[in-house]
Amino acid sequence: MAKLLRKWAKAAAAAWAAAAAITVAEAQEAAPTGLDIMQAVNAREDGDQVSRRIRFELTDRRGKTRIEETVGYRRYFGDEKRTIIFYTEPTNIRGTGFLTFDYPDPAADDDQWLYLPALRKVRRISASDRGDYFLGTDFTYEEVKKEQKVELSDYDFTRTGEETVDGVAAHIVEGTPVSEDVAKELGYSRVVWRIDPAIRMSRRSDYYDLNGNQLKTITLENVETIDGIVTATGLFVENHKTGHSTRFTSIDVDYEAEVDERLFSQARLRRGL
Amino acid sequence: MRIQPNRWRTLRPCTRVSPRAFAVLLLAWLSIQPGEVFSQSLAPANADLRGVLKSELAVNLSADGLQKADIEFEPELTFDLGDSIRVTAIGRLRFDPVDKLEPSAPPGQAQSRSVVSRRWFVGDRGDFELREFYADAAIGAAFLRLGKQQVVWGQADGLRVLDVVNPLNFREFILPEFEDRRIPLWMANVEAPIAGATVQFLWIPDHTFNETPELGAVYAFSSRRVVPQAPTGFAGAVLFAPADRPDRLIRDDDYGVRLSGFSGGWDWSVNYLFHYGDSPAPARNVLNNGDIEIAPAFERSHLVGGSASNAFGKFTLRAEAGYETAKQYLTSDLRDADGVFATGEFAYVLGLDYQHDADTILSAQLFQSALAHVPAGAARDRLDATFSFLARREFRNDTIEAKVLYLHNVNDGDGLVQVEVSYDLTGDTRLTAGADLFIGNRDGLFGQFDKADRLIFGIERGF
Repeated sequence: MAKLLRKWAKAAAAAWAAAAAITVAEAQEAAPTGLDIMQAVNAREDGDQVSRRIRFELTDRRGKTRIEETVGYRRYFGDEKRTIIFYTEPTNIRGTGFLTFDYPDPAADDDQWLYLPALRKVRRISASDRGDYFLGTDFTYEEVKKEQKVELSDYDFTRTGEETVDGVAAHIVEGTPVSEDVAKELGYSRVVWRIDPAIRMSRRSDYYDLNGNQLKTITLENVETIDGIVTATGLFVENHKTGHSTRFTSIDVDYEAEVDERLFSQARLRRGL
Repeated sequence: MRIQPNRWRTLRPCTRVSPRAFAVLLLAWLSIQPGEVFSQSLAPANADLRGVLKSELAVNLSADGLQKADIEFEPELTFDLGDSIRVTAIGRLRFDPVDKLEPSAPPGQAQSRSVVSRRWFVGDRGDFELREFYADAAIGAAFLRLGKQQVVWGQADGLRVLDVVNPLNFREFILPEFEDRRIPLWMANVEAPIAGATVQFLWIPDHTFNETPELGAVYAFSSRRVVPQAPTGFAGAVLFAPADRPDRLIRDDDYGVRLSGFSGGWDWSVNYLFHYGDSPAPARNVLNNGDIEIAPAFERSHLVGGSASNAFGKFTLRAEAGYETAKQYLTSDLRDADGVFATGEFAYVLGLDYQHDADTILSAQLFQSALAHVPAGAARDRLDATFSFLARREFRNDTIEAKVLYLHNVNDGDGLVQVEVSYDLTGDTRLTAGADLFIGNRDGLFGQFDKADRLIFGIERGF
């Protein structure tokens, strides 16, 4: 029943979003608000389940690069999103696993577990601050979790104009955290997204730290439609403060292969792939 | 006091297969022949060979220069048999030219290890061990792991109440990671979902016990807590008798059950293990000529316990507790028949982790144990407490990690400080530097190694 309701809600949101996600030319006539545009982004279909390999290319300011590879699965249980990630490369972190239960209530902390092969033990870990960086990358936990979407209750949105990015006309939407506390949690004082209305994703996003200085930029490098779902398969984030960057590449993305419910368990985290 | 050479040092050849050895060999056979057992194709597929080469140099701060100069190679092979069986084999080849950690050649592992879990020695400076060798299979909703493996119970770090399924090697006391100190055992391990929880059954026919360094080794035990002390004025000889390890099939095997689940935000488990304690007590026997013979005494025990953990904002609470029906300790009371007494023991660990941010964690644990019965001359107090404090921070996108661990025993006032900094030079190469410093009373478990403080440097490369 919950699944049916969720599908209905998704369909309604998608229909609404389709109306909202108008082209820039149309926008000049209808002038959607920043919130309209970000609601359209959030209504983008992301599949009830997905399996994929993800490659992280981590480069420090001196140009030294580390490659990390993971296999990940995500599945909705009603409105609850569960994700499990297994590291497969390099050898010294192979077998490390990360399991998250993400609850629909934004006020509820995620439940998270980490499996470290050196301990042979699943460790319960506190839900990191949303603005903390995810396992050595330049993405925050919030960004990894949201997958190119945004928690609407975190920001006040303003549409400030249009810009051509990668030859595509995009809405410029500026978000400012709704409170100082939220700003501290996220680690940002301001975010500027360039939303491509055709794919309902940001093609380039600039993030500013709590002092108002430019912190990092996330660029959409590759987007594909897989199993009918628009998917960001290439992202690049550059941290302007540290000079560190992360290239994120999704491989073998599959929304149709069955993802076993039993995969999202501590026992499976311990056993590995 | 004179110490006689160990009479049991020479390994006896295994000329017959005991029922217990047969059971273990059966597990081995099942591990390598699962295709036939489960009527599946035997053709190996998706073979993956990788490994880690590492070297560690330890410099003793008190005396004697180098403590070790290990070179270790740990290959790991995995491959699939059929659609649902995966085989894993992990080995460890080690060479230490310094030879101060296990100076005898070879160490007397017959005292502690079953025939099928022993190491092979290359001279007295090298050894090879089949660390793990198991087959994983899914049978319906159940998961089966057959073979030589490690099983970890409980929520505590470093302080063990429930994590007693596998014995430990004390070659370097408690300084290396648990992963490297645990002695994997041949066993059958079955996990199955049941009413929203997971039930696990263990059958362990491999009778291997803690492996402790012999006299003369850097980390040979001397604390009066675990080593019987000769009476004042004693002038005879102390002899070490061969271990009469439990060896009967089924009757002497270990059995374990764990029920675990996640409810209302809590991770929980209920555990039961019917086992022999992994630390046999050195029982004394006064011979007719006045010499003293020391022989390991093995005691069967029931362990009943449980664990729980939950996260509250930036804090994670971890707890585990257990009651052993028979733990063995020493007594110095000369009227005692063998200098060993068995008693029930309740023990628990309470841990609190504080995750300051994704890179910084502070963790504190309290371990406390209480004996049900304490005779005169007991080598430990009725209540014994140990604290641990850990601080760990990662820098530069997790390429640098610094950590400090402090363990402190309240009763003896001794402790251990471990400091380590590691740096990922590349994705595959890690450099480490650290120090292990023992503090306090030389009668204590930590303080006994007060002369073994060391600096340690390492390099590790994966491929």
